[in-house]
Amino acid sequence: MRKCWLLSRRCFLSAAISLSLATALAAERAVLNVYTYDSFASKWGPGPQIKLAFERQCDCEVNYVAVHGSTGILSRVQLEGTSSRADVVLGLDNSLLVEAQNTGLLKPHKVALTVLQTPFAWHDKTFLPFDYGYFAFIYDRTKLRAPPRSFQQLVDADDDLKILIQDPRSSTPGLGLLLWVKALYREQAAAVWRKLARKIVTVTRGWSEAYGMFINGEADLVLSYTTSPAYHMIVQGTDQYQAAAFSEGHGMQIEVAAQLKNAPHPALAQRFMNFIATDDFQAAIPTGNWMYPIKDLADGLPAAFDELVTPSTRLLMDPQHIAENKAAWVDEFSAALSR
Amino acid sequence: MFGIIALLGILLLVLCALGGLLAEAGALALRAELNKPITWSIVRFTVWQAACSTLLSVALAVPLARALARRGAFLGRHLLIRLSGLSLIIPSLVAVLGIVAVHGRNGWTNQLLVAAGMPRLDYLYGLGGILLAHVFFNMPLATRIFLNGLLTIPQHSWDLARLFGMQPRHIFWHLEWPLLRGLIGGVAGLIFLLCFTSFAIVLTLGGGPQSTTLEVAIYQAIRFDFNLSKAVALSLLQIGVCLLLTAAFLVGGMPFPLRPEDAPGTARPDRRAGLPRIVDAVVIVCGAVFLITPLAAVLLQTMTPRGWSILTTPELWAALRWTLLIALLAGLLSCALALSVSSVIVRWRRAARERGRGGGWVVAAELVGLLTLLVPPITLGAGLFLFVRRFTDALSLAPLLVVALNALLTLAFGVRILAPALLAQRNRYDHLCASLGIGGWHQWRYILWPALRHPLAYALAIATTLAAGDMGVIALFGTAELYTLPLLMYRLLGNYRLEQAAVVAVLLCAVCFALFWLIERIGRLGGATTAARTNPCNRNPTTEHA
Repeated sequence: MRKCWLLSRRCFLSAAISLSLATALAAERAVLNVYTYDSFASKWGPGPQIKLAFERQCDCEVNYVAVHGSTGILSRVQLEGTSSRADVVLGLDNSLLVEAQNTGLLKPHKVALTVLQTPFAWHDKTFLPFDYGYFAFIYDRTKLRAPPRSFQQLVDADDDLKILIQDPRSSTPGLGLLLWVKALYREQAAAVWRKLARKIVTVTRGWSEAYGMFINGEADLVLSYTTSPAYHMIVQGTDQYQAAAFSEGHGMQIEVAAQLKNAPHPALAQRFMNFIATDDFQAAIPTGNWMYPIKDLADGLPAAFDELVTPSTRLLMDPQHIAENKAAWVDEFSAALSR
Repeated sequence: MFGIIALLGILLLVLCALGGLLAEAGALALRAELNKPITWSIVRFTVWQAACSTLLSVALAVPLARALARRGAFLGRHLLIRLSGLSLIIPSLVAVLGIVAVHGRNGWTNQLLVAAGMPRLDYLYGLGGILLAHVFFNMPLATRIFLNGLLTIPQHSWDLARLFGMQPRHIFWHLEWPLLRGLIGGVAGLIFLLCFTSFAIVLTLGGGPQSTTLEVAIYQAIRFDFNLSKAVALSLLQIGVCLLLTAAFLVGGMPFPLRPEDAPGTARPDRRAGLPRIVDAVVIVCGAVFLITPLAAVLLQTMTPRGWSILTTPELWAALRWTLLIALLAGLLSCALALSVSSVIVRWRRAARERGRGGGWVVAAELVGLLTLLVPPITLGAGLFLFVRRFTDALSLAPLLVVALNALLTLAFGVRILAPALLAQRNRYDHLCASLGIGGWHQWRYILWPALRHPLAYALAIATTLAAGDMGVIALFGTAELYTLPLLMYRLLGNYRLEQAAVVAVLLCAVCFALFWLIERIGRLGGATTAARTNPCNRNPTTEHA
């Protein structure tokens, strides 16, 4: 036992030595580690453009640690704890704020919030919004002539109307829908879920699976964002896919960034936090992350964004309220769908 | 000696992973979890779906194997058998895409129904979808093993059957069933395990929270609740239930997926009869359609010019390089471990037989070989991550961890393949070797190697392709630099790039097929003469451990 123990320690040691040698040879410049979700960091997301823009001014290298799915970022930082090499986390959202704060791993962003030009007020000292959007059900207007005009219409619709949603336990849109329903229906939420259950084709793990199935015609509506049609208009040149505007209002998602207390490069991390609220960062958001930037861009938004649904009412829940009740609400959801 | 070290090493790694999680969690809430009714309803559902999937896979495999055995030569038979062997190595996320395209609400079946003026059938999501996908994956595996078994019925048995004028019914009960019965236990055990721990299929096709398996619950405990003590408790529960159930299978005999043997059908007397002929044709056509349509559907989805633009991006080639590197290294490591563990199992098994006791140790060793199939990848991954973190920067070791974890997770297949081959060869030649004084390197080189090279190649091919299609481990450790084809596929899907994702899916399949074919080919190179010499003991393994 003891022998094996020593052996494994020695292995780690030699691996660590060779690795540190390798990094010493390779890295002259400081490396800023940004933990984010994989679709943000990928070539087709806003990540590369932001990396380039920041590297032009920081004399450093931006390294994205791409975590699979945005709910994974927080658990990843928790897994690594105080030994984490993360400088900045990018991609938590308003439903996770209290839990993220309670890890005790984050520190204030120190960015003057007056730069924000958002339709919602923001005062948090730890989390800095970098984009936002509204949850919405997307439909194919060549197939669905009369989409529901309100959440209530969706709930009351014929059970032939099929929807695809994501699991609130593994996907942020899924959790967003849970909060949306709760904000609209409160005590009646369970009853609403039971009515919706008969229309739900399947509950997928992440956004990608549900959206893919929708594009392949598996359902009439899929839970996504009001900004999703912009992708189809700009990249594919089709306005076939539209968001259904609901008269009661739409649930909102605010994506935030934060810097870590134990960041290996605190000064760089602070610079990056400041950089988030600049045009160079924000310009990558509309057609990279398909969300709204947190400030007006010098060039304005792409024309397709003018054609998107703008919710009449924004539904945003108090983070503390979410944190206290989320577990119970998820149980309520699971129970309602399991019947 | 190597074997025992490997065995202990595997055990130690699993314990380190669980320990790493526990140390972080602070306390094990096993009792609290066990007292929750929800836990038991999850366990019940997990066992229920796995049992149904196993039953269906085995029950459908018997007629298909029989039909293929009876019809020794028809156009495409070889191809069909080859294709069916590949269902084990198709990455599950790719297969799910194909299954949805064929069986979904807007799938081919429903389009046909609508065209014929019939109502749509909603059968994919929920338990139906889980069973369908599990049968898609496991029925070919069972078919393959049964077919290989049926082909070992010696010619003189058929001559006797002809002499007695046996009907197909009698042939089944007197010749085929006794043989199949010996195989079913092991096959069912393996399929049960695979279905019990199935993850991506249950998540995507399960329909919602009503279809939660233990594996899914553990994933959610770590990813969503960050409740590590719950994750360990559920992992222990999963390992416990699986061990209990598989130990029962293991005591009976040594199950394993055989290597592919596409021997021509023997001259059977029941080939000419009219009715079996029609039945066989129907069974084979249905089986072929069921297995081939999802693959065809995935292929068809790539028929858009926009999708193929992915080929010009450096990301694709980086992903391909990582996939090949990780898969090959993991495959080699997995084979080395499997060979070591197999040698221990075989040694102990033979010793136990000579002494008439000590069978418990054999079962224990075999269970360790299977252990990594029972521990959820996310538990193993997160646990090792936490453990390694105590000594060094875990992230910089990510490629090594990905290789090691994939090797561990595919180990069970290697053991299933190698142990029987090794046992057969040792049973045949050990006394001879002892009397001639052949031992050590010479015994390995001239006695064991010729018989083991094909099983080794097969084990390597399976481990490599499984590692290439892995999503569970790479999802934990992937970074902007470290990503494989499955992860790239997910990233494309996450950025609305469905067409490109479909192309990556097809490429991933192509890579898996190519790796499998190539490794098996290399295993066969120049081995024709030795293969012929050792074939009898490979072909008739059941008698060795009856």
